Amino acid sequence: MSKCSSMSNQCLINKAEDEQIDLVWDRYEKMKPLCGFGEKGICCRICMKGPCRIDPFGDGPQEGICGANADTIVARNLIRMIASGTSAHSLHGKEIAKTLLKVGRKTSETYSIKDEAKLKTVAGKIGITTENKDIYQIAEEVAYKSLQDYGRIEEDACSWLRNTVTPMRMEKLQNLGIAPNNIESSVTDIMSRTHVGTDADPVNLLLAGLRCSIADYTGMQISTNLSDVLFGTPEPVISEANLSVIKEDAVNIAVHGHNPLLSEIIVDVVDEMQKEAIDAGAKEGINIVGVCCTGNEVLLRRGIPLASNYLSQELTILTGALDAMVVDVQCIMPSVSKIADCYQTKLFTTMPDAKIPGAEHLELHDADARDNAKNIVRQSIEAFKRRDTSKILIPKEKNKVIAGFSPESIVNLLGKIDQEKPLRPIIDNIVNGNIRGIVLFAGCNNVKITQDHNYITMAKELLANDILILATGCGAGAFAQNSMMNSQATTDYAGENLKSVLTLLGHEAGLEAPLPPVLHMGSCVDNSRGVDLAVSLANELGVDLNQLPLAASAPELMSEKAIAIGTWVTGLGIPAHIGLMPPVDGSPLVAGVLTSGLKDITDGYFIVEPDPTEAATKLIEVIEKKRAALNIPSKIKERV
Amino acid sequence: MEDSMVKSLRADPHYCVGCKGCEFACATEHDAVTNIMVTQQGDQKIPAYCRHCEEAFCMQLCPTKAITRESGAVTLAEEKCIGCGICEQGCPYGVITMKGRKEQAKKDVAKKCDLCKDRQLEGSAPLCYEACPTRALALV
Repeated sequence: MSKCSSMSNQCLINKAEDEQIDLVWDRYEKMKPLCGFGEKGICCRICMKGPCRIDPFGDGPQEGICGANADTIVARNLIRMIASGTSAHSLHGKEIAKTLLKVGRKTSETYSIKDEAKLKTVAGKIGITTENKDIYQIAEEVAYKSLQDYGRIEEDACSWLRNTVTPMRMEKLQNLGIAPNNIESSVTDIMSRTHVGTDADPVNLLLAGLRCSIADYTGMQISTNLSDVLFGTPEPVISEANLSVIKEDAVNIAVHGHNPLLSEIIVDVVDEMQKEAIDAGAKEGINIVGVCCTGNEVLLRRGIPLASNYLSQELTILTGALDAMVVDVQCIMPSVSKIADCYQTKLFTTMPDAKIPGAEHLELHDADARDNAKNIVRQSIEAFKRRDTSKILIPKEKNKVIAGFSPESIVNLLGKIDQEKPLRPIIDNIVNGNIRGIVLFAGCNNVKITQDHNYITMAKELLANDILILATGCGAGAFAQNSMMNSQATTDYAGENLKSVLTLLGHEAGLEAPLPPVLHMGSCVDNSRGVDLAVSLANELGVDLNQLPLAASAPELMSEKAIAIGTWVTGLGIPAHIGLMPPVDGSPLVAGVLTSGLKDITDGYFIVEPDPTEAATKLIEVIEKKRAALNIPSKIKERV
Repeated sequence: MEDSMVKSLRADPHYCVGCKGCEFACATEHDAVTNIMVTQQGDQKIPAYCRHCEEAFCMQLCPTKAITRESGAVTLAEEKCIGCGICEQGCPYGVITMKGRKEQAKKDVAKKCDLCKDRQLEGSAPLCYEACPTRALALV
């Protein structure tokens, strides 16, 4: 199995071997064999009577010391993963909301409102009137009302849930008792009910997981929307991807993690400091590159090139030309600290809840954010001077990327065709079958799968079958670094009908070329953008989300966040494909609920399929069945 | 009890979940060196362990006769080992480890499975066998 789909990365993997530097793939090999009890989710470490393990073959213990069986243990473990994923996304949103509150109260020295129109739209969305209020008052009210979703005492559902899904879906969630009133209490609820001797009913546990995942969705809506208010709503932007965006003649600084609060400031201060870099001998000045979802955030809003998604993050340092890596939160391999030590690379941690031994910690508090950002850039310039030029090796492959497809930008683009009903061209083409359906790709990379392979294989198959693709997070990174987010990709991979639609839309929108066949919607919290688009389509058609010819896929998932996202996708009624079995197959009951039982509850369900070609076939079938059920042309005659 | 024979191990990889419980148990009683190693090929987990071969290469190759058969177990007398490593090279199963340097000696010494002979002669089972939670190891 090769390690990366982008073969140009191989030279750096070889370089690491020559320099005796362990990478993620080496550590994975050393970790084998992976413990089967953990893989199957039947290891329970919740109390100290154990740890307990259930014998998956039936000979040994079938109950833990307390009497919990495999179903209870698997369900408890799974929903604790959902709680962690929800915490990660929601805290990200909370930081953004708190920043907006400061801006509204005019106590922020660093941040401001970049997108007033979005602020007003958002205010309207969550029921805040804007008449006779200045922008600061609106910001304060929006922030405050958003923050109430984290601490509401009343039983009313969260504002950012109620106002962002279809009315039918909202009713369904409420009837099932899984419409959270308070994001943080949904996490507390899971930690409480999974404590030893509390909830032992696997189905009741899973329902709590579902409820918490809906809270995860709510937190993501807050993250995306309020980030847009502070930093601007993405518009189509042309940039580049792959490790080759790191430039030999520039001071290269990677921004890595998830939260745009500080990467935005770094990008801001760079302009003032270009001269310092050039004076230090960097002919091309300072070059900011993105890694993971912070990379996606600044790619969409600022056109910053994307160096890498999750799995090849270490390779950015192996180029020998990365002078600093600035990280915030989530998906940062602690290994980058050790590898940075082998080079001139300075590693900076910036968040109080995410320190890494060996890194320099410089917090970007509102009050001193700009000063600290400048300090980081200055130290990067110093690191540039310490470079060992004999150790520089930058791969050559570079791909053009068109990114920035927020629902707003899609509506703007399509509004050039139909001002009144901008979504009409998409709906018409879905109805007439030129676009068979839409698949949203999200999620991570996983060392168990050749980096990006599943994304690319599935996407090629789906595009050839005239299915439009949306992408976020490391999925978007995968498509960016494998040349599937530009006009050429439409020519190369889209089926004839999809190609003609994308060409027409590109032309009508005033571009010279077709729209890309895979639309980059943002970072992993921006899966909310995919939902916004789907909800607009559903509302326009007067149907619920589960009826649309839609599916989601996380073919290389790895993190707890991905489990949380996958779960709310099914909660919203949408089938979610995942490319590997999460730690649940120790309980056929839990696995069964996730892959089929859920259908009867929320209409959504998980499809577990490791083979990407098979997975694409299954998603095509799902979409055709949904088309048949809507009575629009389908390759399948039967109704679901 | 000199005449009694100890039992040998047999693994059924189908039941191995790769928890390394056997490795951990073995190492705790064998100077922190495990003589059973769980390997992984694709998704399949396979324990590698000493078969105590009838015609044991390690025993035949050892120049100092440090390896002998005792109560059926191919046993290494560490005090006679000079650390040449030829047994490690000769083992077709790759389950002899050169580790645990003798005091004042310059080389590591060989470590191999003794089927927990002393435990077995006292009526107990080998540690790896006892530790296996899924009965992937049998005594034959």
